[in-house]
Amino acid sequence: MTETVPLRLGCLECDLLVCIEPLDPGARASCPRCGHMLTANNRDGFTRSLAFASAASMLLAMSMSFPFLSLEASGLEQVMTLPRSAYELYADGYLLIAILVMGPIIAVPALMIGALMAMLVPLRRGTPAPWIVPAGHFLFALSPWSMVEVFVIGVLVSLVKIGAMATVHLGISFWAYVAFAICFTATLTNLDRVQLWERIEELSA
Amino acid sequence: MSAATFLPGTAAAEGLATCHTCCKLAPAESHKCPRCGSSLHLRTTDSLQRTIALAVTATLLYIPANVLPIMTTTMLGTSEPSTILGGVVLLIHHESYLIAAVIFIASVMVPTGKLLSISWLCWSVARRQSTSLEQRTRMYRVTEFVGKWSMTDVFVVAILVALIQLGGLLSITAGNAAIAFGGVVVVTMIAAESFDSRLIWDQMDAERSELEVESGDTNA
Amino acid sequence: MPDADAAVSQKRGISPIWLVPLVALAIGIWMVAYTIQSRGPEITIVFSTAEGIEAGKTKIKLRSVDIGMVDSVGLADGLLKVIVTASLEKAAEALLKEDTEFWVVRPRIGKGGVSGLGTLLSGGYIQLAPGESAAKRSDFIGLEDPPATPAGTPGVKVVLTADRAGSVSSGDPVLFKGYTVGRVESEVFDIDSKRLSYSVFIDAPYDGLLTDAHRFWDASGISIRAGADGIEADAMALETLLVGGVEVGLPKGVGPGDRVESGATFALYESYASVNQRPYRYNLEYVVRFPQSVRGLAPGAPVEFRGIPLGQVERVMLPEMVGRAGGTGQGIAVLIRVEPARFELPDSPAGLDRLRSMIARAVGNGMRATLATGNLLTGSLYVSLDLFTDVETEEVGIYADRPTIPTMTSGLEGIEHKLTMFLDKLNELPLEGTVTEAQRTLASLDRLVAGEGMQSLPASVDETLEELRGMLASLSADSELQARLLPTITELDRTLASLRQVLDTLGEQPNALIFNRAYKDDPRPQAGSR
Repeated sequence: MTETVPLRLGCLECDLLVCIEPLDPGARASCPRCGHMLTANNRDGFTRSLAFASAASMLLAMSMSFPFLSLEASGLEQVMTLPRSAYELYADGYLLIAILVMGPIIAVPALMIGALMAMLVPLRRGTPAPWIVPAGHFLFALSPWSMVEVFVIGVLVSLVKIGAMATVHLGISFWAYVAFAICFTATLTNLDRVQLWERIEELSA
Repeated sequence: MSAATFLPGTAAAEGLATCHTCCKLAPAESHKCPRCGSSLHLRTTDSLQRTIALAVTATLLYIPANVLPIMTTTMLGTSEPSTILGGVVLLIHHESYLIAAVIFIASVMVPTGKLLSISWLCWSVARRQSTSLEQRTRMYRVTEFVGKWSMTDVFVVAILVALIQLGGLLSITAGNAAIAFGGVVVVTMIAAESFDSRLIWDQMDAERSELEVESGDTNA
Repeated sequence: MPDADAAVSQKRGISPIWLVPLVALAIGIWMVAYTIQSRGPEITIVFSTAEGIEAGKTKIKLRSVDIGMVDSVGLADGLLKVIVTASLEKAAEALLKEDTEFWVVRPRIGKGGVSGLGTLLSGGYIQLAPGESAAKRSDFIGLEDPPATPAGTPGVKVVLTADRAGSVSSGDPVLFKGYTVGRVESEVFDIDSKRLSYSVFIDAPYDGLLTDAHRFWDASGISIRAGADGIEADAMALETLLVGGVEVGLPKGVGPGDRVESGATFALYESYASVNQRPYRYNLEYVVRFPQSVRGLAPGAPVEFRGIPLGQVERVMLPEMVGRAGGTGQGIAVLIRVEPARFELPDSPAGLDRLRSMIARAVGNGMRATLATGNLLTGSLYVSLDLFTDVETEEVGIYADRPTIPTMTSGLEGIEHKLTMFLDKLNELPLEGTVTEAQRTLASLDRLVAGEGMQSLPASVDETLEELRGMLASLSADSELQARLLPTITELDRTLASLRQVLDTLGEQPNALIFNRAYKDDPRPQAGSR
């Protein structure tokens, strides 16, 4: 994506007024004063982002459908799936915990993928749509709250904690979720906020 | 704050505000971003006040998070509640040093560190401390990045509660400290977000800013 | 001079990055397909309570191996029952037959003992016992209690029918010579037939002992009999005393029959005594028609051949008699049963044939049925079969589709008959002639007595008597004869005495005839010392 006009940005961390020449693909621009990354020209950014988003959505669906973890101790077995665990947390009266845990893990990323796809599909096609801007708001409002990677680490910590006293099996959903985490991260890193909004502005013009 | 009080070279000096949502540079008077419609400010409204207030809230929540039990282990009829620190001690006792370290860092060091750094940053801006700008910026970045990783412990509790339900033999139930701790993490995340790091740079001495303006303002 | 225009080429086509979602999609579809394909059957089970059953947790096991899991638990229509939806492994599909049983394993304390304690810790589970029928099924009604005999246990299942319940209930043991060989599984009261039927399971290898000649009787509690010998109390094992039980065995004097298959029906008798009242299975029915009153003939009265029991009276055939023309004219028809086993014939259809031919022959030889008095006090009657010599030849007849044995009158009627016969005989005697003869003989006797010879007879007898008297007097003590005889006899006596002496000496010393006798001194009495 080349721009004919140099881009003027205020650094969000130190408020320096920076002027950015059109970037080559793969190049990134940072604030000269504080080093905060301003914008990057990702190769095929939107396409890749959309591709990873699609993969992530399918993987997320998969991770909800199969056993996530199963615990076996002294012949007793307990199998955990993500939806059922959410429901059981809610049913046991831990509504707040259920929201606190299941939100950043499943709901927030899912909504973000939805918003992203709602934005990127018309953008790539070049057809303006009235929901792009609201979707953008939604996406960036939610983005600090997705904790997908943290959850994966949390699972690993739990595994180690329990593994000492019982046998834990990683189910299909676990691996699907790990793949989802990877794809989701790739989705976000391929999406440059500034480039996205510039493109949206172009489209609505 | 009028544009004149800002250091030259900043967007604010020219009366331009950067939209937090879409990074659009636009005149601050419009109070609304022309591109995305979100509200536009030169600097986050009452940033220090908000941040301090949230930091205090988080500190208050941190007390029950550590005092109340975060989970109760019921083994063959006997219930044993354990707090965050108690869990760490138990892990050390069981010689799982690595996990104990992870939990300790994620649940004790990080939240305390965040609270301390955010509070100090606010104080430093308010008192116009002369600590290195780069250092403070780095501290801010670290605080912001590390924010969500404290949720690890809450996730671990949730997973243990969901997984270890072996009837009468062994079962784990979540304690109220989990909610409190989750609250601490959420509040500190909002606090970090409401702290406007540009305030740090606003206190740069005029000298330095002139130097930078002279050396050119484009970078690729 | 402007720079040369760079050769700009547009990237065409689809970026290879799309492989990523494609791969993800492929994996997703494959997973779904795999899951659907390896999904086992889904079943529903209806229970009356969901105690111990949790959706997503409770497992379904067979022989402690997991084969399925409960998916959801809900109330059935009407809120009276609980419907449990469960999914089983694919391999378990073959187990779902019409008679497959499901029950919840929870801690239970019952007749069979304590069971299911492990579920206190691990939580309950549903156990299944696969059925054996060919029909498949996917919705089941669960049992509230585990079946007494899990399906597939080797052994044989039989049905006992009874009129009264007694104290037999499900769970009770079945004893053979005091040893538990099986148990009562369930009891059902059939309202239509008003009979109870018990389902009984006999474990292997004892099921090989069970034959169609065996009988089952209620061995619960104590049976007390008061009889001529006094009071007898009889109890089987302590278990049956407390809990109740059924005993199986052969009636007295009966041998084992053919092996039974599962599903065979037996009658449940009240006691061993009532078993022995009807120990045989095969019997022949005959009809006997008595022209006299059958008052005192009760059903169950014995049928005897010269005192040997052959069978019993079944009933008076009133319905058949009423329905026939000339019903009661030919006598009251009584139905009797005769058992071949009492003849030492085999208790089987072959024995029946032999008995039939035996009876036919006997009837040809004069066997008839009569009513005999069994007890003079009560006036009870029984049927007696006996061979009579002077009867008309008859054969086995037919009455109401049953063979008949011809009858004879008996008892008082018989006496009448005998008397009549006697009188007939008497009638036939040549009495006229005999009396005339007798008269003639008396007449001649009279003449004889009146004759002279007879008259003088007493006088000559008298003289003879006188002579006899005189002779006797001469022989009396003071007669001459005696006076002469007496000294002679005395002399003779003395001679004999001395002869005796000589004989004695000879005896002591045989050579005394030649030598002198060595005299021994006579023993002299010694005077005693003073």
